Amino acid sequence: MDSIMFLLNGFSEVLTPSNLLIVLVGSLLGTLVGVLPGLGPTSAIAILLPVTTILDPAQGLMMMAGIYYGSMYGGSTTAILMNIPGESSSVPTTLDGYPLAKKGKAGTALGIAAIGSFAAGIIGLIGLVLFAPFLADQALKFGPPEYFTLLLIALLILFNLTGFSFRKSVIMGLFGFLFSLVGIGITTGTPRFDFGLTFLTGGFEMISIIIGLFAIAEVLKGLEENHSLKKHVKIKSVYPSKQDLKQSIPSIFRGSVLGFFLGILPGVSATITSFLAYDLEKKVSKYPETFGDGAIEGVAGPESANNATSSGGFIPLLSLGIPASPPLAVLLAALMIYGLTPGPVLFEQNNQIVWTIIASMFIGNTILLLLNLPLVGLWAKLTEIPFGILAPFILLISVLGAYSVRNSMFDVIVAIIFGGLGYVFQKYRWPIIPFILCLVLGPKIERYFIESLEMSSGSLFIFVERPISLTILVFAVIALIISIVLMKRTKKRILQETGEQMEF
Amino acid sequence: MTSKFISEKKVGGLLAILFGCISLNEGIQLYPLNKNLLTGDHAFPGFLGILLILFGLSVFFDRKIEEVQPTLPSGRTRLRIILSILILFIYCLFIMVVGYVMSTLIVSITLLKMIGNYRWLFSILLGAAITAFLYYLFIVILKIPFPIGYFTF
Repeated sequence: MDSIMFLLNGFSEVLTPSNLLIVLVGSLLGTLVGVLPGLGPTSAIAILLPVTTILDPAQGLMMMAGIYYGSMYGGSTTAILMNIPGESSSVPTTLDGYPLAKKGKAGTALGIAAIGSFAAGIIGLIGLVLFAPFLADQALKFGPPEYFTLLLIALLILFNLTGFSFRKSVIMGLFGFLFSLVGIGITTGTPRFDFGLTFLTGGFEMISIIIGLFAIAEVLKGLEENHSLKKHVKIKSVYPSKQDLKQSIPSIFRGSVLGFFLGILPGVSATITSFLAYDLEKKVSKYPETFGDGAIEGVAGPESANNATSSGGFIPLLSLGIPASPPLAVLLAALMIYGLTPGPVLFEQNNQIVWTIIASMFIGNTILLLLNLPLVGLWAKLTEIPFGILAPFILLISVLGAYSVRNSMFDVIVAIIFGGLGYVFQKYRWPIIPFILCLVLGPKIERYFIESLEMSSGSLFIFVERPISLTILVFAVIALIISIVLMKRTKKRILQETGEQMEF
Repeated sequence: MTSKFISEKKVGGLLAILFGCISLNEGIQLYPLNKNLLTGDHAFPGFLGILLILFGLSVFFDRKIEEVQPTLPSGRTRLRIILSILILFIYCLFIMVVGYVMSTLIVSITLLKMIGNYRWLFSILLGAAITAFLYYLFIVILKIPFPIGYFTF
């Protein structure tokens, strides 16, 4: 009941002209980012993070949350109109979305995708309202050993998710961890890994590294591709017929529930749930032979699952401080930059800000549904912006964005170097996600570890002696097994459908 | 990196070992400042060093991990990728010397010409528009103090 009151209070905060404008701008920017090639949600949030520092923390975070879920809507546009899945979680949408578009039903597919995304987003948010405060309340019982175990296990499960070699993932995670340690040490205040160079004493700015690995690397990758070949399919009406809606509602519901409940488990990504939703739809359909040839349920189910999982990712982020994906890792960094402490104390210390952000997500999703259906034609037009214009713009804004975090040219050089490295990592399939997650979570893990051992006078048994810590370990083993099984299945499905391996 | 002796796995493994040694060395250097083996600023550099060396060795000598043979860009595409990175480094230098406005204008025109292969006039006009937009965003709104350089604008 308290949650409802806090949420209503959050709504009253959001429903002011300036806050509504922020939510609107964030949602539209997110959709734009999702639609445009060469800029994903992670790099967009990273680039815009310094830009939002002129706003107050609640407004800045509302805008970044808007970019996050807005980009989920935008991602389906290129998948349906151009058969280009911006991310691996959009692959199932292309399977029936593009055939529908070729049949002249692009508008219907986009409309159903938007409605499905909205419904799933709202279901995910209701789950967030119900579960996050409860989980945060339980997590208040956690001490440093429990947090250390939780973060370490969550990372191990997420390493398994990349779809690439587990050992390569671990090495990349260790590299991320190593870069997070550069700078002043937490116990003695002595500089670490500075090699006598003053610019290393302040450590690496994680936003610069993220801009490099995602925005600059993506542009470099884009320079290889032929951007003149793909033309999007023409759109007629964007409003689905009654028959289409009737056919899609059960799929939207199934996809949302499956996406949300599996998505809150650690180690189950949006890619896994969207593929599961697609296969589930095919299984329960009376006409499974139409799948792959333009079945509307094949768009409704996976799109809903994708969005429900993405919304569900806010539960571990806000209540435990654990990001389930790179964009959420950047959001976690944003929370820290704004002086908030992600995790259970967030609901105690910054109650008003958290509920304002959650309320803004309800409003943002509604704005997206109301605006995106009539604006589908415009978004489709935007996919035609030549890469020759986009690429220089993204490169310049990346450089200036990296500079503006600490007004430091060193950060820009770091961003450019990591841009080149990101390109090489992608080419040779060394996963970037573990690197980012460890870079962001590294300092927290180190702090919890040292605090735990100070509590136990140096005994490592503290991590298995305490009941909650032991319970987390047992659950982690179960979650890891589920994650391995689902990951293997999804890896096989991606290979089947696209003929290539993708990082998810 | 297609040779059997310098495959991506071997290079990755070697780098992991190298960084592991650096990290372990840092841990050893920091150890005298702390009172306990497992608590202190040296502990994590030490752990990471050991783990990087172990995993680096395992990837270096592994035969099970599938060898990645990517299609590397060649000719004009490779040149464009290398030049793009170089231009960004030159931009960092330019911005210190000639300031934000001139450097952003020159770099945006160069990138538009190189990546988009547009006509000079179009590149100059669009470059000027991008420079003006970014100036408004970063300098007017965000008040970021970019170096002014030799020019006073």
